[in-house]
Amino acid sequence: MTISLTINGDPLEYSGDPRRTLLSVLRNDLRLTGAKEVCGEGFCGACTVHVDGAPKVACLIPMGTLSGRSITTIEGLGAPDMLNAVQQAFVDHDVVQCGMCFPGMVLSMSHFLAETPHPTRDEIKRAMTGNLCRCTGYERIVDALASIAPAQEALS
Amino acid sequence: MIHASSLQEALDHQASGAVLFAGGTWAMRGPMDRPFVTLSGIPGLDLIEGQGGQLILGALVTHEALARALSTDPGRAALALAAGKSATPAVRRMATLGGNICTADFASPDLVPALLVLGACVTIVTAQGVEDLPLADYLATPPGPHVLTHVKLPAVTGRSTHVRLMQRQAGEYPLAALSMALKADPDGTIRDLRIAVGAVEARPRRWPALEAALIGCTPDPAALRGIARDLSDFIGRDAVDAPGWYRTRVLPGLVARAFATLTAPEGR
Ligand SMILES: Cc1cc2nc3c(=O)[nH]c(=O)nc-3n(C[C@H](O)[C@H](O)[C@H](O)COP(=O)(O)OP(=O)(O)OC[C@H]3O[C@@H](n4cnc5c(N)ncnc54)[C@H](O)[C@@H]3O)c2cc1C
Ligand code: FES
Ligand code: FES
Repeated sequence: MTISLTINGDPLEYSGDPRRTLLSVLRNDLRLTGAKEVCGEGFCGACTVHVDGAPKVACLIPMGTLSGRSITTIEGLGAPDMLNAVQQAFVDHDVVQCGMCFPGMVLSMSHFLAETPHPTRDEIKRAMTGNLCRCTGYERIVDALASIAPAQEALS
Repeated sequence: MIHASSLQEALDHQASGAVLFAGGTWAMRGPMDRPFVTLSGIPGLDLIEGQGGQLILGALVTHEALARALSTDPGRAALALAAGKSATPAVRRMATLGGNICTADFASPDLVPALLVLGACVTIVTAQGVEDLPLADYLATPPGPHVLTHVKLPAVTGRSTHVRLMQRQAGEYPLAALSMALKADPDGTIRDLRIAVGAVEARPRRWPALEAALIGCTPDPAALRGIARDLSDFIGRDAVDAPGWYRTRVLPGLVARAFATLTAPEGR
């Protein structure tokens, strides 16, 4: 059975084992290696992608459930000369260390800020619980995210 | 991977060895050599519907949808908190109510103790037909091959809450979890009390000895821990995150925390 979906706007026809994970297909077949394979169990968030706009962990999603879905990976979000607000804030606050957690962090937090434009620090921390940063730069990540809402208000 | 479009189809595939697949957050971490049968094509399983005071929830309602739907329902705060604090935001978008109840080897499903104190009944479909039964009976005697289709919650009059003891604030399984539903007179006399404990034993269950000891009383909050300690008959489960003795030792503290929340002026 062939499964049709889109990845970063491009159509994909998949006819392999439907139990294979989206993460494996992204990384091994499509060479979209932004989503990282770390725990493989849903705990760390390094493999986060958007499925129809909502962040989910690609390591627990079998291809067979994705017919008609639209997937966005970090490669499909912003562009080097046109970063989104979260990507830009992470650069400006120099928060990236090894970078392993960041593709997932950016995808989770971009969605969170779109839903919660004026978050408190506690709300930001709660929203980050599914994205582990083993380099533990959490406070700077929170600072960067907290800077976005007021900055956007000042611009508008 | 088979996509069932009716309950009968799901049951037929289950009978020939396929594993039911709801949110996949448990199934995808198990053996991958068996076929999965997805439930998402069966109509009506994502239902959230109030009927009078009763609430009917489909098995495929996600933790996220549940937390959202119950955010303005103080009587069912136990379930809203359990759904809204379990796992992580991304996992809550995937994991389902039915999966939480039906994962027989999961000791720490947060929704189950909350459902127990709210008096939930479940609807299951087997080869013999449709059956409604109390959740407690379902847990005590797990049925053979079945699909759980709905959960029914009766009308509520009191308040409820759900507390979890964690190593970190979030993002992992609780070492112990406790749900409490309380109805008290204005003078503090307890009219009705239900307490259920998760993560401590192999499956969540009610705490009838403590409930019975407190109903009709006006307990002194300071004495509550001692009463809970004396009446605990839980045998804690050893696992990598905590030894069994630790899980039982923290229960009186969780009782006190839940009770304090429910008796605070604006508590829930
Ligand atoms: C990182 C991580 C952390 C988590 N932390 C928590 C937590 O703190 N608290 C918590 O409560 N949960 C937690 N969970 C979620 C837990 O996996 C789910 O709550 C739930 O147990 C599985 O739901 P599911 O829909 O994903 O089930 P699935 O994985 O699809 O199925 C699980 C099992 O249930 C059976 N099943 C599913 N639906 C039905 C049905 N309708 N009828 C009959 N059988 C059915 C399946 O056959 C399978 O055996 C966590 C998950 C992850 C990945
Ligand atoms: S690799 Fe998917 S959550 Fe860790
Ligand atoms: S920057 Fe290294 S894991 Fe987050």
